[in-house]
Amino acid sequence: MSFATSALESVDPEVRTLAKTLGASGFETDMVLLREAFWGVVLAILAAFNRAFAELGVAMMLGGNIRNVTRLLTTAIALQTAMGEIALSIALSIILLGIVLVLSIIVSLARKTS
Amino acid sequence: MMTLHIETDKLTRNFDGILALNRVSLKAEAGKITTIVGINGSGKTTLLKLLAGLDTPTNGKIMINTKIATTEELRHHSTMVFQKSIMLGGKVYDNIEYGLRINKVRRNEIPGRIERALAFVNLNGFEKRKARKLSSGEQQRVSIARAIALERDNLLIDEPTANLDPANALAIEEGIREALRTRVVLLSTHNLSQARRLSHRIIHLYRGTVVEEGDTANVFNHPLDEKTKLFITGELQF
Repeated sequence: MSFATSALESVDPEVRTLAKTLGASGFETDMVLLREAFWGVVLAILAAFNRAFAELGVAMMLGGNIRNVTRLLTTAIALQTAMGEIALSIALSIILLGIVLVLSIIVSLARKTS
Repeated sequence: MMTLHIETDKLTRNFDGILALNRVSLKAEAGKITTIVGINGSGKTTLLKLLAGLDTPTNGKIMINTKIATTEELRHHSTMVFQKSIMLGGKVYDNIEYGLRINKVRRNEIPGRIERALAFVNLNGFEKRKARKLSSGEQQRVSIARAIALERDNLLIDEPTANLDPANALAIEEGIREALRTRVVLLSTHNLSQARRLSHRIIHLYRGTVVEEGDTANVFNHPLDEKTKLFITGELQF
């Protein structure tokens, strides 16, 4: 949330004045500010997703790591490591890292081509 | 037939006790470039913002063709080009198109208007260039094209060539001259040679007050006010 807020705050405040002098209504002005901050907001959402996706402590404490109900990649990795299934836990870790990496690459490419 | 014009009557703007504009009365007509000159802090930008409907006066009236105009009406009739050019993300085309779209210009009219506006400032073929990657001079020319494309009655331009090289300044001046034909053009500058070159009328603002106004040649060759004399010789200080 704070990343998204800073993305919006980093838009040049003069953009609002520009939108007004071009004839934008209040809503249209807000929309242009949002559009200018679009990639900042997307990156904030991505950062939040990555953070939540790689979270272990909270997922374990609140979710309880119940099979087929609240088991996540991170809690499964922790469980497999504790059970001595190192190969499986490494494989799951690679999947987790792969998902995060692929998403980051997709967003980065989309940002460059836009 | 009455010429399109904008005028102010005793326009005053007070910012928390600081008088930025003090009872300014002026008139600007279509077909003539009216230039507001004055040293930094004399109230030029404040005046243009009021005329553009981007700010509200503390006192006084603004009239378009003798009818008192509200800030909404001023925004509908005027557009302002700022000293610091502000580019939206995307291409030059997107920047100009944005203003046209929110003003509900018909889709089939948009490409033609953009092409004509870019031709005004000698930027033909720049449509697909990324606006923020352009030089500051080119960005300022896009700002002027964006304003011209809207085809508003009043074009208000604040220090358009501050810090630009002569080639860009010249292209901007050409654009302003082209825009003049059907519009009221009000320009603010502290560049005296530009004011002399471009303007038909000069208004000299000093500390928020009009100290002299008149035809360009008269003001420059036979200034009546002491402050104007000092301003022309570069000796006037705030």
